[in-house]
Amino acid sequence: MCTLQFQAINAVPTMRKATFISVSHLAEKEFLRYELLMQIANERTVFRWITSDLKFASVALLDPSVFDPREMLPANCICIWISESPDHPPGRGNMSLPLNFRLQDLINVLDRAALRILDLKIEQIGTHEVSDFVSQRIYRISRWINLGHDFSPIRFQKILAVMTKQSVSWHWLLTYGGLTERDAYMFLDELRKKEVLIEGGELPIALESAQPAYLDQKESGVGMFVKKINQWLGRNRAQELERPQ
Amino acid sequence: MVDCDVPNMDPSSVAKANTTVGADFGVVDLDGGEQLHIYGSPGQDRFDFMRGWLLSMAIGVIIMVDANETNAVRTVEQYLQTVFSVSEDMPCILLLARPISTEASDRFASQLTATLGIAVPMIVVDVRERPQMLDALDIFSSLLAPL
Repeated sequence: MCTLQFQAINAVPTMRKATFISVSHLAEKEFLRYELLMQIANERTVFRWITSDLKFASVALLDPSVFDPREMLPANCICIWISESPDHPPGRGNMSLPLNFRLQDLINVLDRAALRILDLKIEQIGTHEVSDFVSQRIYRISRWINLGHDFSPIRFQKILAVMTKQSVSWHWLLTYGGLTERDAYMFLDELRKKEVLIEGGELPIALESAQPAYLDQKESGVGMFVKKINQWLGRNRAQELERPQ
Repeated sequence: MVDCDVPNMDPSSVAKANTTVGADFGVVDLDGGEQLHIYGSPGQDRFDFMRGWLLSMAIGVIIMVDANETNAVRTVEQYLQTVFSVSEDMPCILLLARPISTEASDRFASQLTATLGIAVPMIVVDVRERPQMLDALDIFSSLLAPL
């Protein structure tokens, strides 16, 4: 019964692989140009691109006059510099876009970046460092918030409700929350954008490793009672679906 | 059928001639013979003794509120203070039971947090719609045993 429930609520499109891109270090004119062209480009590129904070990004679109070189880039983040010169700034793996880039320029460079990401994954370099950064932190919310349409399924609201009471870890989001890694990234990013996310320090290793065992302990007492409520909910939802409209 | 609309005995609190007073009770039969009892308590102050009884044996509280009311934050604050005086850890969720815009409910949530210093889960529901109430109970259940 619960499976039905989870199948029904997973409304996030999964046709194409989604990857995170940071566009927060662009001049306003470049950003507006990117936003405009991306409305079309994002339907044509190999990956679907989701705007994110720099620290989660696999790709960063950067203006050398805006980006502070002292700022940390995530490991393996592919830099696409918007610059007059294709060689500026130099660096292994850097890509560039002309100042007045056109739609096809954008699609080409994003697809090249996508291929690079695929190569990195094959080499098993991936984005482990970024994941580690995210996965070792704990999260809660400062106040209740209505989430956007992509996060309307009840699963996100259940997680949000828990996050009003206590901090949750990345591990918790994936195991108990039932989110995929991508959903979890997007969910946290949405909360961050809405300025309600409180990020805590690193999770103690002992606590992180103890969690799976703790979940098993839920099969008694209140945990068992809640499980029975959820079974009842599942049955009643199924009845609602079968009921003629 | 019972008429729940009665003359308002407390016009100083709410300026209207009639008010709705209702207590309700329902049983959800769960697997293994266990039951979930759901008690509905009237909201008027003079019934606070009744809320006290119910809270003394409750495992969680659902508060229905019209967040459009000008004094909604104050009303919820009073209810929550009563709830948390019984147990600071009492799972609690608000049902915004009247139509409200996303902006207005976010504003209400912000005001509530500013007043209480805590984040309070809340969802907008049409209480006449069974699927929405099932969703509400589902979300609420995550507060009962979150970890």
